[in-house]
Amino acid sequence: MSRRFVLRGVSGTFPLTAVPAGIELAGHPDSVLQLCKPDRRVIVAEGAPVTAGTPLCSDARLGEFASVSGIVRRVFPWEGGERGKFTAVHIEREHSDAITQLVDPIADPTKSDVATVKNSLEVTGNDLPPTGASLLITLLDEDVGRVVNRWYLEKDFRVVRAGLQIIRHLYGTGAVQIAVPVTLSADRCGELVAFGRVIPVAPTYPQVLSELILRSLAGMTGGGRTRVLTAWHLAAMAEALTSGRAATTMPVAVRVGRAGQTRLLRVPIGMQVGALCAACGITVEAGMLVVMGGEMRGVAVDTLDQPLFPGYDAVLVVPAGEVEAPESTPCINCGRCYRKCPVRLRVDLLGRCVEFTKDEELLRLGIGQCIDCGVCASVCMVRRPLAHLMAYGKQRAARFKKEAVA
Amino acid sequence: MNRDRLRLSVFFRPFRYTGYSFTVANYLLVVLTLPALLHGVSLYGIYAVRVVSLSVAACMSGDALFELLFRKRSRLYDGSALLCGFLLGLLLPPTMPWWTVAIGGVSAVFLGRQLFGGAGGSPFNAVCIGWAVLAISWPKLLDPSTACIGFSLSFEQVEYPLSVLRKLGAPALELFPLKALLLGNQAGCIGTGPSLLLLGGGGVAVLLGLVHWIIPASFLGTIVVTSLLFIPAGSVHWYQFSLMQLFTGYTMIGAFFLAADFSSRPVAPGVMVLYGAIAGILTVLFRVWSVFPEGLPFALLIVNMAVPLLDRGRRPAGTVPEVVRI
Repeated sequence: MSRRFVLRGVSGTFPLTAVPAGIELAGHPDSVLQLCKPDRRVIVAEGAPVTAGTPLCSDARLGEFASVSGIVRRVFPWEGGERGKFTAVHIEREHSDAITQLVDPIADPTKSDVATVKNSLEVTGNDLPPTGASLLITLLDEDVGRVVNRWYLEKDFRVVRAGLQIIRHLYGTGAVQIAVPVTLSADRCGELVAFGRVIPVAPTYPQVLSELILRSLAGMTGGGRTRVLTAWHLAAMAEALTSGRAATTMPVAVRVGRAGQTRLLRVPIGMQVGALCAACGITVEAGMLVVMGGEMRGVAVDTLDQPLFPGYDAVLVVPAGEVEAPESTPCINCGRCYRKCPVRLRVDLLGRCVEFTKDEELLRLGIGQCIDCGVCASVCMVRRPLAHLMAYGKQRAARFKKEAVA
Repeated sequence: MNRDRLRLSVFFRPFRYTGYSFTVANYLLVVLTLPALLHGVSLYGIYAVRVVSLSVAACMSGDALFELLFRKRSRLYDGSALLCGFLLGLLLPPTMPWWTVAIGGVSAVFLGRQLFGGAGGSPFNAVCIGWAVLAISWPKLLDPSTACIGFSLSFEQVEYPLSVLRKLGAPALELFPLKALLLGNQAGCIGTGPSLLLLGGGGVAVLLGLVHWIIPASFLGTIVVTSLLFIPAGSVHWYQFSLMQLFTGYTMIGAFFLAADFSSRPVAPGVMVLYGAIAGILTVLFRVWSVFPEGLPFALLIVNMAVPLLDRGRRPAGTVPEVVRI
């Protein structure tokens, strides 16, 4: 059992959607509610110990991993109101970070029995695709402020190489595409060519987004079944197979203020933002903005108890004076959002359609193409909350489509 | 756990803004047209100051009044009403009676802005609407050729170049040397004469990213090309008429500050080419055939009406460009 957990944990895809990582229970500071989608099978038993990063259900996605270490107290169905039904896992926090031996260590992944490893990955219903489907390994930092992939490329390429070797042994090189920044040195590129097709990408936002890279590679084998892995996934995979331990730490970039210096720290997965700030000597005061993840796609936390997990590997603390909140102003039709939109959506019209609930127009203007990059809102002259409107509009459009079919 | 007491700022992503805010853009545009006003003041003295300050006051107070009437949150601070009044003042001759300036300013903000929901909501250029109201109601008062007779100006030709051109035809081209037109030694409205200053200000606005370069380029280019079709008989050089069209009247202020108005221009770069081209053709046609010596604001108002139609032919959603810079 434990073997399966770990392998699934390290190869999860962690999509960047805003699913809450854990719900704090009022009056129970030591308890966390973790929500799983109702169609998933919960694979932890009541009373069983879990460590931070353990998947709680089959095919675990973001938010379905344990965010803290502790004991599972209860598993029960939970009504999420508008958001639907969930299965809730109640974890009682335990303040020990003992690392348990979860898989048998494999000394050298290149010499291990490829078939055995592959079997163990696939039989357990792992997130990795079956042989032949495509893999996109992106070694780019997918947001402004996230520098972890660059750090792996420059400072800790050893583990990336080990992860790539595992991937090559499992899937060959034909189906693997590796997105790297164009600024990467030639010898690193030459090394990467042995593991798959190397795609140089301009290291500017939003070109670095895997959604855009996948669109430009639309002709590649596998098409919609492409799995996206990052340097952290490779490192975690290599660590799990060589040391026999689940990845329990991850690098996190911490920055104070917009012009501050970025510090890179290795922290345990599930560490709370407040604890990280305290460890860095940052005093968080009322009115400050604490962002988990990058500046363009991150999440502003409302409580410092929010745990950090892969995909949210940066913390930005903005002093109260520097906070630039969006304003509820009418559109002035300057058209910057449209001209900067990487998928050329008429964001100026879409934003107004959302405000005036024109659901049919939303579909006609192709709101489903939006990749949530947030560029429209960041260039808006009157600071309209365009990213918010687009995210809400997508939900409205989906509901409208569903009702139209029914 | 003190999370009950600690109130952090929370809002939706993104947490980074780039580029100018609307407020900064408006004030920058006012600053960039300021040299034209100073030139007008050097020619017409206190009369120029009188008209422009009246127009600004009318626009801003009118805007505030209508915001109060329509129970909207006041956005007077964003400077769009100031810019509107400022540009309208520059388009008027210095002898306009105060009540016409006030009516022009108030109708600009009412018909051109507040009726459609405030700054940015209007499909029409507010400045052009204010000007059009005055041009249709009091064409005699707005005629710059009669307005400047009383002033002692430093140059000989004290009549409005476009009026002279219409009266005399080809001989008029010799009366206005290119240097005089560029330096603003031409009678007329307060801030439309100094073509070089406006070209410089417009160029800075393009470089700063306040004005999309396609609109002035397409507009000015089309004016040159179209005016080649209407060269008056007896011209010495074929290019004289085009240059005259380019550096007289409202061409420069229109290309950079009126046509590129945020609210009424199209948003797609491809459509901007068409927009500028149609506006340029119509401007020359108005100047050659209409009863008004200058018809640029009318041309802009007509092409503004076509913008929603033009904007339809856009690129399909979901195409990925090669390079996008933010």
